[in-house]
Amino acid sequence: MKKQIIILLLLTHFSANSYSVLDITITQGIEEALPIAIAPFEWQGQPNELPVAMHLTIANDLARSGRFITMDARDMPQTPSQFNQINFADWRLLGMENIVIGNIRPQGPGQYEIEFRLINIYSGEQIAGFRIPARRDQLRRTAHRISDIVFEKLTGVRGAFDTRIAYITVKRAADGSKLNSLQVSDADGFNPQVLLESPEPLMSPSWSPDGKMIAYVSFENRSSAIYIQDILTGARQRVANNPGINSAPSWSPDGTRLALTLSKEGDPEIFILNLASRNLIRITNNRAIDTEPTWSPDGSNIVFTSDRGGSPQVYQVSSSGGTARRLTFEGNYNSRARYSPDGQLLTLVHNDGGGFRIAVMDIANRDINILTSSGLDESPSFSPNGNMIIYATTRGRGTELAAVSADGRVHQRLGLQEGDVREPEWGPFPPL
Amino acid sequence: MMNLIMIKPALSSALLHLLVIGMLMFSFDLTPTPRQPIANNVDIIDAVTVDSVQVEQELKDIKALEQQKQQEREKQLADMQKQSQEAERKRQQEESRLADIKKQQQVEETRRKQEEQKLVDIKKQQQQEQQRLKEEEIKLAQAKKQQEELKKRQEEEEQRRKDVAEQKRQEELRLAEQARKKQEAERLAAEQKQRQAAQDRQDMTVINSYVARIANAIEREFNTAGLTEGLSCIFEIRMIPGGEVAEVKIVKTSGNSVFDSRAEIAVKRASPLPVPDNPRIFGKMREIRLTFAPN
Amino acid sequence: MIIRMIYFVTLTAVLAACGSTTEKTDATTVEDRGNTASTSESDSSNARTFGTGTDARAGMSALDDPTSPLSVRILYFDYDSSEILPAYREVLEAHGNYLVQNPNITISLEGHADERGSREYNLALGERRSQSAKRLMMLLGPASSQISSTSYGEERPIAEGHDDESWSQNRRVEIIY
Repeated sequence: MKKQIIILLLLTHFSANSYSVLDITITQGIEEALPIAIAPFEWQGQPNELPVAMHLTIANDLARSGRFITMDARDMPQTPSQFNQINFADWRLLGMENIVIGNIRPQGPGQYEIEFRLINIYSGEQIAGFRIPARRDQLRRTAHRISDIVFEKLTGVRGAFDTRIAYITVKRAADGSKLNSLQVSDADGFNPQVLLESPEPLMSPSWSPDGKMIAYVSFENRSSAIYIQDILTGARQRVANNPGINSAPSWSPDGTRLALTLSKEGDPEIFILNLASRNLIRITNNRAIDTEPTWSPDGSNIVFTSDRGGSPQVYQVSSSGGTARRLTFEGNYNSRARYSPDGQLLTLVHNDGGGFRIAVMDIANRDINILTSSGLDESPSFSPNGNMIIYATTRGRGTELAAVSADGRVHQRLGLQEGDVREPEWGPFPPL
Repeated sequence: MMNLIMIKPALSSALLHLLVIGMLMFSFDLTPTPRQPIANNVDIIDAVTVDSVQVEQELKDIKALEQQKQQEREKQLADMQKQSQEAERKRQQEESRLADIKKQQQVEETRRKQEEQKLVDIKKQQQQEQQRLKEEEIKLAQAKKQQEELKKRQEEEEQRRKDVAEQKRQEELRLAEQARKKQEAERLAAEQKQRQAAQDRQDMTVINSYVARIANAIEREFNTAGLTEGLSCIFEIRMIPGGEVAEVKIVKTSGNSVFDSRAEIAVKRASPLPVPDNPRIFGKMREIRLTFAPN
Repeated sequence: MIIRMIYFVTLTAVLAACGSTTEKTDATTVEDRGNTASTSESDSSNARTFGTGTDARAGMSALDDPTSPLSVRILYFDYDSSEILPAYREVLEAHGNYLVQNPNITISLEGHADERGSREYNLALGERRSQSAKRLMMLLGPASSQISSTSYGEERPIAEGHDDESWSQNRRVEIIY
């Protein structure tokens, strides 16, 4: 598409000794990843004891966001670790806009201090610089924190690299039996921790807004039931175990309630369960399937999937009940929506004949932007800063996690786990 | 009065002459002056050393001398009485003559006084006349002076008038010159303006083509990915010949540091910007106010 | 052999239903074509699924009679549908009658879906499928307490493949005694 340029040109009277300032208005831009170089952090301890290649973690984070294009260390004209070592001209020649330099110092057994600086190549100014102490097992997390700082400084949006995701894995044993597990890991898939293992299916993990609890569906008693579990202690309680299905828990933004799907009255309906009082309020009443509720960030609305119109579509209803409003009209299948953190967008599973793909819909104008291209994608959820969407995709015989930048520009597989990995749910920001 | 003063000295003078003559005539009879004893005392002190025999003799001599002198004195006295009687008679004669003279003198005096009065009156008249003349003269002088001053003032006035006129003439000349110069300048300016306008129009066409190219060059580097919508900021940039951006200065921030920074980087990445080689045209566009306002 | 025959009958019914139902989606058609095309390949998984049924110990019970409709324990469904295909009417009637005749026996109906679409929706779809089956059985008069229905959605596929053949096998209700 050719850019349309509007130029305001004001050439006022020229005379021998007066000059005029030319006015030019830039009305267009490009949308591209920002070039950034993460120089290898200098290890200041004994040789061969470098604990973690932090710069790679940072580079992977930034690249995965779709907002950055990182430079391979082998392509760098130099690998400075100090400000005064940077040869700005060389970097400018390469079109590099920003560089991250740093070093890692041992500070006693298993203890380190990481120093890093983010420097703008064009202005020669340090944009950020921090010294962070960390234990050995915190180095990856520290790298994510550095990624967050870089991301925020250069995009103006809080980074969400130092966050976690919850998901379900299924492993097949040699005897053909399956082992289901509920896990949480860092947002890049590293550092997985098992919260629950079961021979029966597990489904629909949902984070509490404070990131301390996870609600999920377990079939451990051969029928679906909803549990909430403390991530740290593992303590859990069953909060819904009705006849029929008990599923699709979704924590309210204030953390006091769960929206869920129960079919105890005959067909699946959306309910809101008050966790303290156990009081249950039905939100929908329709003979069709109503399920997959999720809260708007302000808690005022719930969107859900219903086939009341003949095919699964996404509807919106007030969280105090009332008439539901259909939101999706494009495609014959739209389901399992999740709000963007700003409440403006929904990401959902969309099928317009080209397979089940992850899409983003602008709630205001209902424009749908399809982000993925394989035919069996599901369970999308936004990162807490709205920058990325994590989802599950089917490749070959297995299911794995993938991430796509919310603008659809960058795709990345998180193929770290064995077996099937599915139903990723991005956790909230850690407390500041 | 004047007459009286003038007569008195003459009378006094005569009396004084008489007195002086008298004194000269009777000077030996006068008692010794008070200084005499003092002189004798001095002599006494000196006499102590004198010989007593000599003193006896001396005394006898003195006595004899004294007797002789007494005799002479008595004779002299008789002469003098005789002479005095004679003098008295002469004096009476003289007195009578003097009275006549005096009478005559009084008449004369009266006449003289009248004459004198007449003279005084005349003199007074003369003085009055003189006074009058003098006043007249002063008046005349004053009048003359006034006249002179008037004349001077008139002359000065005339000079001033002349000066003003000259000034006015000069001013008129100057104004005329000024007007002429102004007209000339205006004519030149108009011509210059016309030439300038023509050139500006030509240059403008060239500049316009470069404006589009500059905008394009910057837009190709202005990364708006993920930027908040509706922001704008203004930079002023200065280029050096060849288009290299020598200065980038923000004059209005968007309030969003990421937005501002992306704009600044766009300019720096786009540097050198496309500019014409012609120094004149380049001079007109070396400074650019860049508004970043992506739609 | 009879089992296989029933399977083909089922397929025929599916195709017939497809042909008569104008509102079916393209996906359904594609899926059915795939089903037909891959019939021979699917023998092994079919055999395994049906294996328990064909492991006949004749005479023990009608349930174990491979010639009885009661031996049919899986009902298949069209994509995104809970409609009982006509071919299964007889099967459901047989099971319903059996429950009436054996009031002490309880069964469980497990609804399943293929992997396509969202999991929670598929869980609901599986439930609706099992409820469809239950409603038909209930017409014959068994006690409601004899039939429990549940759904596993797409969580327990029979076939692990990501193709029409696998999907067609996974869209099902299992009748479990």
